[in-house]
Amino acid sequence: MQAMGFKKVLSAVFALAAMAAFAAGCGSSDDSSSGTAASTGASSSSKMPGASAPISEAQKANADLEKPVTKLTPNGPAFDAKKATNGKTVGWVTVTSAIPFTTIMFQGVNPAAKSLGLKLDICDGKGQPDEWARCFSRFIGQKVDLIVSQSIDPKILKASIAAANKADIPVVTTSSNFPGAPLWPGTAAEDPQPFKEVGKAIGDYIVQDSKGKANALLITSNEVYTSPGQVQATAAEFKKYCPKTCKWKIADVPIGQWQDKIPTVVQAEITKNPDLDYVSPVYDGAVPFAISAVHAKNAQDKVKVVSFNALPDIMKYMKNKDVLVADVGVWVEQHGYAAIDAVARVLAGEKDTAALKDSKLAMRMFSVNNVDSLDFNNPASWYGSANLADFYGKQWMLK
Amino acid sequence: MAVVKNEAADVVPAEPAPPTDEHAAAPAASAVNGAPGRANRRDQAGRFAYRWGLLVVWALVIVVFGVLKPDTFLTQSNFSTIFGSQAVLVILAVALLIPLTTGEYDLSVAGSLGMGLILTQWLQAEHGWSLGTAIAAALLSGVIVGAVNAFFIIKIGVESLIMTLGMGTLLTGIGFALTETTIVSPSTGLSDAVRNHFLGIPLAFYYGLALTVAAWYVYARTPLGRYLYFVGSGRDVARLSGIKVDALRAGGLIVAGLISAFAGVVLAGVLGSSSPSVSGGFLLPAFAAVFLGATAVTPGRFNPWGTFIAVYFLITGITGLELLGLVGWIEQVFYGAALIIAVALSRLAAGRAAVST
Repeated sequence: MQAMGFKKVLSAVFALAAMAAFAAGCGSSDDSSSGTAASTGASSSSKMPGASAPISEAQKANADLEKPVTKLTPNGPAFDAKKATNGKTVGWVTVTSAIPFTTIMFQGVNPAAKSLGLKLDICDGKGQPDEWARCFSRFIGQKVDLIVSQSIDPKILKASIAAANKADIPVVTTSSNFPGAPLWPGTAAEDPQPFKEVGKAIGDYIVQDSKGKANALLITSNEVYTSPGQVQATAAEFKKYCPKTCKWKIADVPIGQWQDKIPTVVQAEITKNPDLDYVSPVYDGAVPFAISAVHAKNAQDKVKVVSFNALPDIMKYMKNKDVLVADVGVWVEQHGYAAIDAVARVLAGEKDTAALKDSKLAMRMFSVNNVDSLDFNNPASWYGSANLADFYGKQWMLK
Repeated sequence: MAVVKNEAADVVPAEPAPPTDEHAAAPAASAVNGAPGRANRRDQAGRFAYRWGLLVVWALVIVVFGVLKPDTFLTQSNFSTIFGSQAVLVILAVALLIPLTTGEYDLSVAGSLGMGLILTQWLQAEHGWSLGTAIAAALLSGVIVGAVNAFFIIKIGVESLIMTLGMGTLLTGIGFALTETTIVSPSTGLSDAVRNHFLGIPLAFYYGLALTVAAWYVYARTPLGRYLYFVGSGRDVARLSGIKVDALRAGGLIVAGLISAFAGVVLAGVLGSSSPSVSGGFLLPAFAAVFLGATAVTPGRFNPWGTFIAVYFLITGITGLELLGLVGWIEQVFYGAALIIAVALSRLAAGRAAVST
């Protein structure tokens, strides 16, 4: 009896081992995105020709970015937007309506749409690709004038976008690509965030804060198209300013695994690398998990967290002087206005213009240097004195 | 070897055995307080509510939203979207139904769906396989998953809840190992086969419908279906009756894996792409649909038509709320409340039916 039981256990072990071997053998051959494996960007010898750039440049860049936004940059010529948009219906597919980013974006979308006489029909994508597809189907059936796909990877909706094209309904995407990049197949415009500039800003902050001696863990989520480019832009700043004295490592943790994996990854790195002093998750939704890991290792006096989005709830960590020292934000309300600008330009007949590929969104670096000046009861005021309604009113020839 | 507890059968309400023929049973005689006519009518109403309450509520939801939003809700395109958009969930719920009937939990169905989805696109895009062979490989993966589940659950004796939870997690990990990023389908053949319309409704709906009909036929018209229920109701008694219990349990898990992988193939056609992070959101809705479906048609038993009605009842309500501009938390409240109320009403109706017999 015992022998038979042991045989069963042994055959179970072999079965599991075979499955693991199968998985390893069929793993991605692309080394730059290999699950949760880390790729070390550290180098003890410089690979850059010539001397590294002076850190004072990074200091200046960071100082400029920490200042409030006083002036917005037009992404294209002014045009009579309302002539093209009044009375039209836009079907809006949110990646999910349950995240603060969407809520804040709509603080720009709603007044912008109202000023142009646009009707918005919002479908909550609930973070599920089949829901995104269902929303598209509904809007195509309703024959809306345009569909906005907000913060969704257009590649995953290839069939839905093709169906919209077949129905002659233009599709505008947001936050899915880099400024100036060619439009996704089948789409008419992109309202991008400046992801590479964000990555550069994070790199500049870390370089100047560490005086060129950073030891950093950069956490990416490679399933998001723009994430690798953003993190590589951060690493590029280390290579530029401190190739010999900065060390960095990139770890890939998919968004769906943040809660479980980030604490493990961060704690393991702190253990293995006692000199670690910066952790930078690609989006600040991961910050709570990173901060809890830093506390778990009792490293809160040594390790600092730097991230991107500057969501008000996350910024409270900075306000409370709790590990988060810098968080670069793109003006999300402006992102909402810019999405409607893209919608209006498409409805006005623009095709493949520069304005349809870049929204020139404003950014600001929030850090321990300026957090005390922020009004946490009015996050809309954080970016500065520039008035979005006035600016876009002029762009749209409403004023 | 540890005996696997018949968890799923314990969860299904222990109501008086409903008629196995889902056509209406003869009303029971009643002589309460010397008023047999009124009692009979109450009894008939109770039985009707017991069996068809969910269908009636679905119809009411359609009426309510149709009155509130006639121009957008009561349109062919809206119903086309409602019916077409839930095909994958219907297929997955039917897959889940089978092991649940035999008393096994299968939490790996979403993982099998994900593996089917990824393999369908990955083998074509990254390895140049033809669509047909990629689909065959995807379906085979489901069979293998089901077989591995069956081996560990039945031969080794691991609890189905634990085994399939682990398997689902393993499959998600394998999916990320194969590809972290979105893969776009190199061809449109599968999307055409899923998204093209027949009688104004996407073909995907008909695949789900055909599977539901097939599952109904097996459950209602074949000895196999009756044996599945026997195994779920009492494994030891079924074994003593000469039923091949382990074979049926294993078969249920393998078929569940196969159908789940098929759901992934259909989803690949719906999306025209794949991603390793897609499948997780299907698991709870599939369970919700199957358990809610157990309150209708043959209440007290997991059944295909009940599951089918449950899926479309829920999406009809959610679509109506969307058209009213009520998105976000209110949809989740509706979803959760609908489940609780539907199951509670069914238990109440079951209680009245039990009293009258």
